[in-house]
Amino acid sequence: MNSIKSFLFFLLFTALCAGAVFGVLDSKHAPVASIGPFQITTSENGLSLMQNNANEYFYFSPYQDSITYSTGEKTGLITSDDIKNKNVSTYLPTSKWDVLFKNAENYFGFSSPHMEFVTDKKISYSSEITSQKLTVKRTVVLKKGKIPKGDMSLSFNSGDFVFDKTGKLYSYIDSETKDLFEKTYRITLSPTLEDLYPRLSEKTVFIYSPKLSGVIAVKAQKNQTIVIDRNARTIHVEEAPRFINGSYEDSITIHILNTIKEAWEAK
Amino acid sequence: MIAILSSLLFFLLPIFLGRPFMRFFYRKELTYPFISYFMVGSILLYLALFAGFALKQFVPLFGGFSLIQEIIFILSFILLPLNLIVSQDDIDVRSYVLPVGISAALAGVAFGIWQLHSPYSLNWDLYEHQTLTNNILGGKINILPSSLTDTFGFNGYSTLFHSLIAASQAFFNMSILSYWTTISFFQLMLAIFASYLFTKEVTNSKFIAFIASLITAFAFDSSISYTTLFFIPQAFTALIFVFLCTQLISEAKSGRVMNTVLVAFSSLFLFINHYIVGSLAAFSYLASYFYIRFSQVIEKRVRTQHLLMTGLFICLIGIIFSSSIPLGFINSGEAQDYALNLMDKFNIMRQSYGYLLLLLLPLGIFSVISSKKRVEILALSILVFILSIVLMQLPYTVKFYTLGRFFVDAFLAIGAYALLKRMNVFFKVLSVGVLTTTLLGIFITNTIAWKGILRYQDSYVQISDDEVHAAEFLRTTYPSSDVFLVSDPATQNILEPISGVNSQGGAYTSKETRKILSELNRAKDTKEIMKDLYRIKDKIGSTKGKRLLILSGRYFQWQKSLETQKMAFSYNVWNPSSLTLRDIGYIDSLLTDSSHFRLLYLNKDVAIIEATQ
Repeated sequence: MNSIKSFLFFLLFTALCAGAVFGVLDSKHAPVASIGPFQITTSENGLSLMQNNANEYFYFSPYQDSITYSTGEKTGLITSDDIKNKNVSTYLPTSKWDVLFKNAENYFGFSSPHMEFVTDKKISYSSEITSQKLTVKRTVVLKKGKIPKGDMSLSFNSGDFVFDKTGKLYSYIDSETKDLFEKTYRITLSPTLEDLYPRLSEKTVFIYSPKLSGVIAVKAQKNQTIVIDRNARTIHVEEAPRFINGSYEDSITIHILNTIKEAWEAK
Repeated sequence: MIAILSSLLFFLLPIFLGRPFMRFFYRKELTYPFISYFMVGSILLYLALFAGFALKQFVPLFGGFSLIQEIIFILSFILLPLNLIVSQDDIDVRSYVLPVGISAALAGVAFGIWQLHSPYSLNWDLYEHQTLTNNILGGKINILPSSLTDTFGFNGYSTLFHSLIAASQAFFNMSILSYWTTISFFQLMLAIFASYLFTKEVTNSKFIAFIASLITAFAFDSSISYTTLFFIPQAFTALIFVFLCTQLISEAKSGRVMNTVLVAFSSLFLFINHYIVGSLAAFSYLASYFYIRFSQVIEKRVRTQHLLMTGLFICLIGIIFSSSIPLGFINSGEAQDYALNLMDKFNIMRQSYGYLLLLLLPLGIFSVISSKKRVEILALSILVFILSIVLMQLPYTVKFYTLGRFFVDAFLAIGAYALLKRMNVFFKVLSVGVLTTTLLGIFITNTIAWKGILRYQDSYVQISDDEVHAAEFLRTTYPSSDVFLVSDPATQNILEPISGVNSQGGAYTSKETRKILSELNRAKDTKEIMKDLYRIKDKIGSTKGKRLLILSGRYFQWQKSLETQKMAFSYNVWNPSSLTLRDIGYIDSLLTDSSHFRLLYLNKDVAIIEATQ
């Protein structure tokens, strides 16, 4: 049979098949990866921890992070000027093929959620999961300047318990819910109201939502310090970022525990 | 392993019961006789169940066995040995090895992708069908499902399907969920095999048949019809229908006229398996039979093209004007949720096939019209007829796609072949690779979109391990006890069939019960809760026993839903949910009334509370 004719019909057939795939409706659900009872997913704000289809999210986002330049100037990673001047680009997959491919990659477990932002800096968040430990890395590429100090943050929600292993409670909780927690889990919590931005000496802080199951444990590594912004409802992990291959790298380590008992008894 | 044996028994037992019976009464040669054996064996088993039930009122049969076990013993004792005596079927087994092997391989790949991260079957309907099956296993039988369990308010089919399931489960003590997962695999494998055989008979081409089987494997009609991956009465009826059409065409090509009694029996079998889908299947099957039988007479009086054009015109009128017929009141208003317009159906098509249907179906239809082969024209007529009904803007018409999809897949294959036949072998093979990749891409995307809502921890499930454990606790603690399960519709639906503990209607609990369940949430004190619990009554069985209040994560989610959602059959909390601190607070408050409420069982997802008056 004529090879050219065969080839032309093959091209036509391939084009039809490509067109067929173009018609399929992609999932309305963003790719997720699981860690225990939680999942991590991407959104326009960054990465977020969530649980099943409940509307409670815990964000890793450049909109709530900050960096301190070597000049001593501390600034948000994305500033209000960036937003006002529409100087922020996010890299969510937009083309049909990208979306389909990334969804398939995620379904088969070949990728973990990650997200990129571009302003006058290039900011990316990536996730790495090992068993019930999640490490979220942030890399920042500057056009100029140096960052001797940065912080990455994780947001929490109104009504969430934020407490450490000594029983100090850092979030605002109504007395009825606090009593229920103490009675159910036999843990006494002491509210610390004197400081809006407590800087913790403890290396671990827990987040527990009365609307969800499981516990999020934010674990500071050796050179990291945990600072809580009670009003903004964010937990910041401060450190001197590592400068690797032209970019500054920070990370937050999260352990997900199935129960309060497990969290309390863990080392 | 037990689940595999049990699932295979569903198909094999009726075949080996029906074969000697049919070989004795029907001596003529018949292609694909296994389908006729299956139907005859099924009916024999079903009638024997009724006879045994009637007889047992007066004469006890064997002690220590259930009715269905006794019936299977008796029938097997009489009929199974006769398989060795009757003459062998004239079947070239070797010719089936490759198609069956390919069907199994394709089914393995498709099923593997579908069930990835899903340890349990995703067929929501399995729970209601198992509830009905449990009643048959317990010694009851009735042609009306609603007479055996109030989970069925509408009698859309007889209990034949459930009797066959009961027969396959009767001798095995196994995980019900494993059974349903396994039998779903066999459903898929048989659908692929049926598509191959049907297309081969229509086109006389093994290559086109292979392409059709590829399409059937990876194009999942994931809305309303669910043909390949859900083992439900309508999909089962469709499978029987396509095998019957295959047999009819094969007999016609062999120059044999099928026996009218056998055709009538087959039509009745289709009908009793699903009254709605089965009616259309039976009509299409009978119309095909009469066309084949009287084709020479028909063609003398009417030109086939005129007949086809007239039919097409009527179908078009039906599609356009059907939206003005108000049928939303059917099934207590639930029909309105299933009255889809053309855009909805277009999106359903996109979900299952992408644009493949739009691109290849016209090619396939054009090829057939050009070829003017009688069998292909007949298949085209049935395709047009069924698709027209599917496209009509009336409630539930998409259900009929379960019949039409085998015809669609065949014509898509014919359309693909219209291009492939113009290539040399090398490019043909490459093209099959391209088509397979395309179909896989569409199937994976379809799967991800369908399963997304079912996310629970690291799985996509409709039932969690903890919910299964809770059901097993109920099963071992309350075997055959007069207790009554009360929870939200979804929790009732999943716990009732696995535990064997009765509830009011499962997922289809009545509006009165839904109102009472909703009022539980607003009850002022435990006395009011107790009163409400004992107001809930089953529509069939006794409800004098204790109430078991199941407070699951789902239950609390359901209670937070809108009132209109709670009253709707179509709304459920589809995936599991764990208990939260607030849920535990509610449970604790209930248990303060220790004289009436006692905690029996508690895990991450479910609390079981005994409520005693």
